[in-house]
Amino acid sequence: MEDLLKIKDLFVEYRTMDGVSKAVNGVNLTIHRGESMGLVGETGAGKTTLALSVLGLLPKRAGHVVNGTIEYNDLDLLRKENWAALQKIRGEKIAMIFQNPLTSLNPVFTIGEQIAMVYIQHQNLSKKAAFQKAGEMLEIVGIPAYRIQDYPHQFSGGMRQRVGIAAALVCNPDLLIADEPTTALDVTIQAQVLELMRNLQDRYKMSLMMITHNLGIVAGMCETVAVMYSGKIIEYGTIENVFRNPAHPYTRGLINSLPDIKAKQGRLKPIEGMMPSPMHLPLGCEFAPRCPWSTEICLKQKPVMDNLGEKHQAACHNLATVNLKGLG
Amino acid sequence: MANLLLEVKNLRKYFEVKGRGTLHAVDDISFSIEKGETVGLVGESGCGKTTVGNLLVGLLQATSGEIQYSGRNILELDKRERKELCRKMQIVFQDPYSSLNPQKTIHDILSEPLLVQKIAKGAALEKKIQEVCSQTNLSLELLSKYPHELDGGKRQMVGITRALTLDPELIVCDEPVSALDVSIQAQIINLLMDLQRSMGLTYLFISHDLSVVKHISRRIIVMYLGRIMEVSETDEFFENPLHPYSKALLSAVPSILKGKNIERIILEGDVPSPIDPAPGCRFCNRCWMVLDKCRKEEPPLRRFRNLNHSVACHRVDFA
Repeated sequence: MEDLLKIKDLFVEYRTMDGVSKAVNGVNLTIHRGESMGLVGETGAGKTTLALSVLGLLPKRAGHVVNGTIEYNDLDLLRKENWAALQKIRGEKIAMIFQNPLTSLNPVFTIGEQIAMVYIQHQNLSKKAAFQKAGEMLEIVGIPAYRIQDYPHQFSGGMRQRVGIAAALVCNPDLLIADEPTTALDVTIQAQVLELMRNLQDRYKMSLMMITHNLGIVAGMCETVAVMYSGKIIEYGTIENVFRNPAHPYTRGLINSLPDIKAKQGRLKPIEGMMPSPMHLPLGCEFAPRCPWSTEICLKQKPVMDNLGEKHQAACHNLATVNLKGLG
Repeated sequence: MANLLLEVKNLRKYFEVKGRGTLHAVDDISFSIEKGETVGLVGESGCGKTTVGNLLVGLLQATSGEIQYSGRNILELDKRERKELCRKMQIVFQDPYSSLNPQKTIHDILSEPLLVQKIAKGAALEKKIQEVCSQTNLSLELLSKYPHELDGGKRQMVGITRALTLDPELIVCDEPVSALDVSIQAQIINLLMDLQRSMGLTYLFISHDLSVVKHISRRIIVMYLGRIMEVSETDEFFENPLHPYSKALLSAVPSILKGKNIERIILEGDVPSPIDPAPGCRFCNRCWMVLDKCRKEEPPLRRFRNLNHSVACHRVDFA
């Protein structure tokens, strides 16, 4: 498959009054054309920061890309001379939907105005034509076009997220980044929105980067998955490889600590401790303080990604010992 | 039903919404809880599950109905008797950030119930606090800290410890793990299950997360728009859900073991407004098995065959 977005050796930090918070620490990730990839991890793992870096939306002043490149079709989006191009790419080629549709939509404009704005900005349509198109887009995501004059507060949570999806898909983007798109929604509404996203992805043949803490959603939506911890990708591979044969102790811990509706489980096995603060990262492996398999080398040296087979990589010093013991 | 601890009969809670009508938050529900069991109360936002919890612990006044606790209707108690009952029934809230007073230390938060109930003070109070902290493995170093110094998991442990200070029999857990990350969530679930075993607690576990409820509950109550749709033992429910809403709910839960190409039941539309609901089944406008009868006549909760399984649906074959 053709590479669409290549993130290489990316480091991002936030410089705040309290110190430097290292949110992303050396991420390498490639999304291919048409691929749907899940990016999973707990709160504070750096998932959202990674997504915002791609779109150049890091908070001004505090957010800094320290190192690395983000190439979209071989164009480095982080270079200053490409910022004008990024302005075009953002919204047109790479679009994003956000976690909370109530705060990501502007409360003082009708949803029609907000969707039409994208057509006017990116496709130079006249106002009339833009509204016409906006109505059609609403129908595609399952909202009757007559509601085009309504304001965001007049919609339910699920409908608002549909509006967010409609605005994101206006220019038929190559890549859709969805940041926890259904976390604020109820399960049956979540199922509706995910089904819509699946159908639209099929129809528009776009790539999808699905950011979520819910492993089940990734299993139902994506082909590949990247597990993030303390600003790093610690395991990457196809859904089958990562969820059936998780290699990294953190991925195993995550799966073991999760009550699953389809599983017969005894006592849950939580991961002891907490993710280290991004202000004080350990010298060695970030997971070592919580890891039952950690050895001396883990405390001193950061592990690198190792190939475990086709489309399966993990970053751990003790992969051989860990994987002898099976899942449990 | 020898060990009946709590019995709710025809409980209703209506709110008047100015200019718009009457909101039926909880509409004529009946259920019971046995001593020592965990009952999971599931449903989506706005179905009335939190209202039920608040009605039980007395944070809201019921519009009508009965709540029998150890054989007494607690809605008819006077103020003094009601306060005494608080020792038996406690609640753990969803949000460990807003449910702990930010101006008090953990020590003061834990002592408040004991002082209000005039159970212990001075040395006896300190001893009691140390005792409950050891039950929940809450480190004594935390006692001098303020809530904002703790992370979400630790705060929720404080919330649970506070609920235990009065040695209650029943704890209403209102979404106790929804605000937490998965690895922390597992710690709290294990703690709740351990406490139940060691202290013989009874839980009403309110949650929208069916995977968690499946793990922790012996029985399950499914609510939709203020009504109970289905009540069943947990294993039976997950093997054979009867109500179309339950089926859709189960199909909607993401699972890493489900895979991609499964048959999905996707419900149309949103949950309708609970203000002056139309007659008939509350679920009829989203149901794919709807009959004419469903729109006119509300189905009663009926026992399914000879099982500990009841459902409110016209389409279920009870024979």
